[in-house]
Amino acid sequence: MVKLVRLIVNQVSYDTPARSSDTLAEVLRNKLGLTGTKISCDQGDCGACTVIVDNKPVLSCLMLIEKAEGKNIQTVEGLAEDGELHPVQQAFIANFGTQCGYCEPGMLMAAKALLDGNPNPSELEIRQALSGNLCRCGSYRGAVKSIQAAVSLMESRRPI
Amino acid sequence: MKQSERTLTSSDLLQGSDCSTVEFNCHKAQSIHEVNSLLARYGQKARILVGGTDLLVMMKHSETQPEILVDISELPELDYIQLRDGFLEIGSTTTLASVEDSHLVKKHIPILHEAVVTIASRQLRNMASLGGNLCNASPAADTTTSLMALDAEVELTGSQATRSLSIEKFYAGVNKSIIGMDELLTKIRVPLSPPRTGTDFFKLGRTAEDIAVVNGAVRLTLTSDGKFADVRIALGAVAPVVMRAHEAEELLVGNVPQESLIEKASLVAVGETKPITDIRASASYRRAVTRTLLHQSFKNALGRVDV
Repeated sequence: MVKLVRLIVNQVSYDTPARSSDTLAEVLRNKLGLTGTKISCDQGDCGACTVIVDNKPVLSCLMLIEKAEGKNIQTVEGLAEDGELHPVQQAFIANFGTQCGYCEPGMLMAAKALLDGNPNPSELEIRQALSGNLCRCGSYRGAVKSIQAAVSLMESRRPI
Repeated sequence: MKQSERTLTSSDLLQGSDCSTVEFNCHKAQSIHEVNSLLARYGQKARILVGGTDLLVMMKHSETQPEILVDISELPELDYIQLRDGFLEIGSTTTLASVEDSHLVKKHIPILHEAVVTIASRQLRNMASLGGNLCNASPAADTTTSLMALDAEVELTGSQATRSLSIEKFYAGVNKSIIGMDELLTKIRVPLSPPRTGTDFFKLGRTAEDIAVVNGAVRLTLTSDGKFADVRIALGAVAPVVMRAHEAEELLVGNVPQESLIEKASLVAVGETKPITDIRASASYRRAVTRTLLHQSFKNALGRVDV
């Protein structure tokens, strides 16, 4: 059954037709054209589909579209502000956070969610927060380094 | 990871496969009573939905084809963690992330916290509910193992009545609980540990997200002169259901904790298991590693006995 759903993504409101069986990942990509969010395993194991819903990182491939209605959804497309990349994005670029980049949007959203709640995480906390994001290129060390760099970057920019 | 039964095409991989070939409705339940009515009316064609982290995977693999999903995630009366009359009570829709973050859980029943942080990922735990995890009835469920050692109870609410039973009696087989057709798991109730009690949880997995190769939990209570007064040993992924090692428990009760006795109890516990060989490990590996990890777990729990 197709119905019209209202989604709030990166602070923009969208009305889009969707089937009950559509997941948030599918609608973001196929209906809203926001292809930054990736579908990889499509069963909640790899984290490539990670988005932030109501300030919590979730697996969009397992979220039925009706569950996403009325919630505050942030995707990788929403990280940059006024054309300037978010510190985590800048840090991933500067520190070789990924190689092929396919896991990157998921990593970035998991990292952002971590830093929003814990601005100065230990290495262990970073690794635990990212344990749901798989990288077939094996760039885990780069991802951790990037997040540590992002922590410093964000700290240096915080108003005193 | 389970393999999908039909062939995936490249367009599936890029777009995401349809999670259902059967049309279904998503219905937000307004009350527990309504849930009971819908379950009674639709039977096997209805499924409860909270986080959907098991359900959606099953639907995508065509292992279940419900016609109605009864969404209970917005019933406030099922989302809580509270202390009441010497018990820690957790509502069934409480997310695993809420359980993970709870100070009450960390303080009073720390092995539940220890178990929950090993489950999948933070992303999944933000969606998944404790009740859903228990009802999925995996023989490897980390929540079940820790709760069984803690002597937890589950409350099941049906159209006609509400009943409580120990978590040990909740399971009938692999992915099979004894929940009635119209019943909803509403509450998990954990008694606070008596004084002189120590607990420990262990899990072996290949990577951080993995389902357990084996897991286990112990709860030990000592008498004032240092003997085992009460022992509970729960073991997961080594039998069709999470099990208590009753013979090993009986071996310890009344005796002084000693290396040789603990080793003997570990061996006896392994003898009570019925592990299988599957994609994650062989039966013999499971037996060997359970013996080692359980032995260590006893020592950890003894070290945590509060005097």
